[in-house]
Amino acid sequence: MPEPLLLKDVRVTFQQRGFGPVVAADAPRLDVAPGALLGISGPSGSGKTTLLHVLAGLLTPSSGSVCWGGHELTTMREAARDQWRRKHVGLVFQDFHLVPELDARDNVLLPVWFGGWRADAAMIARADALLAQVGVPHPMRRASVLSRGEQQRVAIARALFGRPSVILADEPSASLDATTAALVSDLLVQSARDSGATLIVISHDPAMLDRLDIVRRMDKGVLQ
Amino acid sequence: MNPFPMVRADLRAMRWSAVVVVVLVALAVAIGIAVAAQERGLRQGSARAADDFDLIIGAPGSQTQLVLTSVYLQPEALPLIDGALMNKLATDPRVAGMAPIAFGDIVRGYPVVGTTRNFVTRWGRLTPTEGRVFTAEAEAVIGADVKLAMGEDITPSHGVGGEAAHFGAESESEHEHKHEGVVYHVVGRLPRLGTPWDRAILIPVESVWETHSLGNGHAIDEAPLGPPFDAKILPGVPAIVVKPVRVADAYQLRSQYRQGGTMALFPAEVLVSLYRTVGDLRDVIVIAAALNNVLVFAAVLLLIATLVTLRRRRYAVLRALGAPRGYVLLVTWLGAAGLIAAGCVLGLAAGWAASLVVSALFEQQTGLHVATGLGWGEIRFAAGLIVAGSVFSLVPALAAWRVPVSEGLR
Repeated sequence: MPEPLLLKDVRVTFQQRGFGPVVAADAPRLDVAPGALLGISGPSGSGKTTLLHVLAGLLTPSSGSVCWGGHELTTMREAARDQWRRKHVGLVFQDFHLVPELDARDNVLLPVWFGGWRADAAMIARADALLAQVGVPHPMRRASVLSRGEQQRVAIARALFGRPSVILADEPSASLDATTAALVSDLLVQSARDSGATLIVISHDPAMLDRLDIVRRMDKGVLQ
Repeated sequence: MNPFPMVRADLRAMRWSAVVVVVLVALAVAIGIAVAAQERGLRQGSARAADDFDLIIGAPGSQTQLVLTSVYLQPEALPLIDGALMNKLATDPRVAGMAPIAFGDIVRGYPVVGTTRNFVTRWGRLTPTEGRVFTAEAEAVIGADVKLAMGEDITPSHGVGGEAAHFGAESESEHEHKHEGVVYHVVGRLPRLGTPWDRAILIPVESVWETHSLGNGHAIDEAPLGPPFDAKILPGVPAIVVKPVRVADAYQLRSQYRQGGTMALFPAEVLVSLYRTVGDLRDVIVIAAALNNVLVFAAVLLLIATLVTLRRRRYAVLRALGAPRGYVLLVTWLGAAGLIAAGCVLGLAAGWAASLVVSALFEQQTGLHVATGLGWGEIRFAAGLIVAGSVFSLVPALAAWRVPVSEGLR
């Protein structure tokens, strides 16, 4: 079941030699209802990706709290966060980040091997069904030979595979042409709606942001 | 947790680098193994060849040359010792067997060695695989590798020193130096010894003397072969092999014949001093091979570390998708250790194959059989390298393990 997000007083700072502490992201408060579709916009370098990493538990903020329902990420141990992420989060990146030497199906099944020895028939069937659903008809094709649009579709299928309650996407349409970007944006929004997952998309693509319920803006590291 | 799909993907991503790593490691290991196996084989082979030569008596000169010429049949003109010594030794109670070794002639490149029936059968140890041992002058027994037929008649030529042997073919100088009118009849073939004697043609020592117009060593023409040699003027011989009754006798005989115009030695002691010299050389080679291994392993680990660093984003993505740290560690470690292990196993096989080839070439040249089985030493060496390689593979793996995910993703 999707869980609400409550983020309070989050600050990410890092030390830069000669400059003292630099604030990379500052988010006083962010409330997201379960199943909501949220966009975070802003110019590059405004701390959007840093915030997304905090939401995914990839980066522990210097201060503040990040609560996904009952899971307070900032106090969890790293191994627990890895496990939480595997169970609850689907991630989509700007540059897809598929393993080019694996075929489309194995890219979708990749997270299975983090916890188990092999994917059973049901998992393979689900991977193939997801690939068909996102519009990649050849699950045995190597990721390296797929078009960029197809690669992002595989990445979305990979994010959906674990039936995540949260889908986090970092500029999912930024490195695609306008037509493909529109198709991928639709796919992402539709998949989130169908599964009831919370979707948080970082983007400066108006076409993408238009499809979401709420859009928050980040500027100079501060979440408005 | 199943790291293998990712390990396979990583290896595929490495492509030629993976091949280079395996080949480099294999070469380094093969050199070390070939050197060790060859050296050991050579030592054992040369020692075994001297087995039937307990004590050798010859004229004073180079001990090494006496051993090389009589045990390994490396042709060289040796000074002769008084033939009367043979009779003295034959009746000595401390002597179980004695035989002259007289050489100098060749037939189609094969050395012709004059000796006694006693030594042809190596003190009774051998029986011919074909035919029989000679029973009369003008009869010859051939070594296992001599390409002559049973019943063939051969005429010896005077060997000319310093000439490379062409076994099985008559050289021009051999043709020019024939002992005209002398014919030996091949009556038997000996089993393989794995020593240069496999290429020798053995005849009664009496025939050697006759061929060189020195009489037959006996008072009458029809005397049976072998000692006593009761001729008034007995020709000299280059070397006498003695089989003492007891170990104590061996030492007594050696000290007795070390003086009075003769030299006596145990081939084993000459070999030991040779091994000591060669052993020093071997140490140098072994150290060089070890350094070579260290360098290759360092280079390989550096290469792997570089590749892992280049793929830090790939591993960060795995972490972002929920892989535990241990998974990334396992993937990178297995990849590196697997390549090194594959190289070691391949190197073991290649080293063994290389030493087989070198042994074959060496045997072709010297007639000395060098047994080059893979010893436990070599297997332990390769296993040790695999373990060391696996441990060192942790270094690049730990480097990948330490990268913070958020940083690796950028």
